[in-house]
Amino acid sequence: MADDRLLVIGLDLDPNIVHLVAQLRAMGIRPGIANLRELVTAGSWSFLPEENKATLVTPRQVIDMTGLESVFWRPIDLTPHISEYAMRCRWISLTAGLSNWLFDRSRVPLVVNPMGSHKHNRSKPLHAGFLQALGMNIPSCITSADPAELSEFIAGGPAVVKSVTSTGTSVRQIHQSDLIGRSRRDGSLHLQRRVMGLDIRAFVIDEAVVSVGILSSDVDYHMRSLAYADIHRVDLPDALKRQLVGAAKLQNLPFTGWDLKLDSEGVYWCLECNPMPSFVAFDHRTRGRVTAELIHLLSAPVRLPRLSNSQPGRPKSPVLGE
Amino acid sequence: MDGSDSPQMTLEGILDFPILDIGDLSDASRTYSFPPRSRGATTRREGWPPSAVDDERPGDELRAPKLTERAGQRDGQSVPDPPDAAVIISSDTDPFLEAVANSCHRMGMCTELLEHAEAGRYFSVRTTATGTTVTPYRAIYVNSRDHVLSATGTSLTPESREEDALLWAVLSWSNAPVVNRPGLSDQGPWHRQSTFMLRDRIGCSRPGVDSEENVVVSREHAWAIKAAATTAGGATAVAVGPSAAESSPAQCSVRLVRDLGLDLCIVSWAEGAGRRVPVALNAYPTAATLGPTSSAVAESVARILHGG
Repeated sequence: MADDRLLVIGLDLDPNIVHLVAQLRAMGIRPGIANLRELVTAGSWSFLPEENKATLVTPRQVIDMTGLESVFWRPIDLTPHISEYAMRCRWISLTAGLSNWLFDRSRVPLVVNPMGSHKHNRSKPLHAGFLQALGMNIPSCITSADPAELSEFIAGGPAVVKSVTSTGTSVRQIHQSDLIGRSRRDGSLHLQRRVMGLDIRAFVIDEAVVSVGILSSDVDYHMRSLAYADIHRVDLPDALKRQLVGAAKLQNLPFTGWDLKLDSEGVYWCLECNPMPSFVAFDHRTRGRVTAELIHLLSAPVRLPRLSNSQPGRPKSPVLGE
Repeated sequence: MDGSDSPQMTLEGILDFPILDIGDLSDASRTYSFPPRSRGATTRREGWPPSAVDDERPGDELRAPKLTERAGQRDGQSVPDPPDAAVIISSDTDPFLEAVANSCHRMGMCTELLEHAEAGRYFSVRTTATGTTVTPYRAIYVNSRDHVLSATGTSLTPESREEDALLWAVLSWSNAPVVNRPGLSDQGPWHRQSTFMLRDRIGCSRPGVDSEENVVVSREHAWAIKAAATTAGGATAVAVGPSAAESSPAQCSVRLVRDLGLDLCIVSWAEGAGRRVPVALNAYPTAATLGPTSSAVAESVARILHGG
């Protein structure tokens, strides 16, 4: 693939981006690279949808975003960590412009993962309901600020607690004693029935499934580095693989990371679908299988005809007087 | 008639002008030819979540699993009764919200006005093997200004993110009527980033352009109003006269709002380089932005909340 047809967008601080680019280069593919941090601090950009032109400019390069055939992007929002108002605005402006550009498949046929796809796992109660509606076997859960309702749920069996957005906190087991003194004012908690068993991380890349089992003594294996866990390749039942691939397609996500559990009775439970999964640590344990599948997806000849603006896929902006 | 003819008019004054009532939209096909929705995930829908891929790609061979009906409507359950209470969520008080509440009261509904943070602690969501339920059962109307936080570069606090996350689930899974039910994609809850992201979505972002005409689209009706320059304390709406009755922006606005799956939205239009384009969407109207249509829109919102 010519370099100007594949673009990787992300942060130079993100080991996943660094790893993917290194693997691409090792295979002789030299993608364009847009470092969001460099763009925000020292670059500029322009998105002109009506003229079908978009460029990203850094002190080192000019990236023409027209003619791209595939994009891998991993936009990590740094605005909560940026104190300067103007810089936050630049960050938001850049990501909004990129989002808009990448939303339209008539401009870029393959975006991993595209705008407009489902990314609701930052609302745990919404996500859990969605997975259940898909027919996934999920543990019961409740999201509430009512101490009585939370207490009733804990009384029903072992439970773990997560933040509603699942950011910034680890999953841990919760007990009745943790609710002492708690009131509605303290906000909502997301409780989930605890499932004991083997943790499984399954990556779904288009129609390929790469899965590993994670033996960890922690309630949440994310709590500590994966160096503390035993990780081995595992193979999932074909029916489950088909279910995961179908669910990923339904969410319009070519690349997903699924957190599963296999309990002692051989039942698979679905905990979560990550729409922007970190993969580098697992890639090292799968001999590069995840990245290999990703590169295959990104560099494959474009399978879809380019869509014209008149085809379905995006509400067309009405323009009058033309 | 052009809004600039009467720049000094007060809100009371402009009420004398005929409002362009585009008409009853309940039988939309009679008047408008709406295109099929291309993105089912953002529609106000029965049987949500959608039963098909957002935008199916040619060549997709594997069919996504068919979703069951929404929680609460399974196992032969009928559509829930109209709620006897509504929750209006807003961090600001506004005469328009009072009008909505009053309209609800006239329909026999109780109303509660909750701040955003309160709403994030008010509801509970449970998911079991049989489905997802939201309690308490309330019709919900979010008219929050919190979305401007992101548009102005201000970050939400961790607490507000948590509240938003719960509210997003509540608005999505509740079986009660919800005005502007949110989607499942990056746009997230409409009550945050709505205008900002909606503009991106339809590709009509024209920051800094003053609108010349606003079209208010509700589920039932649409009204076109001339927009005077927005001033700090003034009313901004002037009704257009009958000469604009065939206004194309009005018809395009209805189609646009329907396509986005919204129940209530203001579409702002402006002219530049000989073309008229939508420059902004506002899903959180106030009495000032609605101008002379405020009472009628409030009635329309109340009817939606009542299950209409």
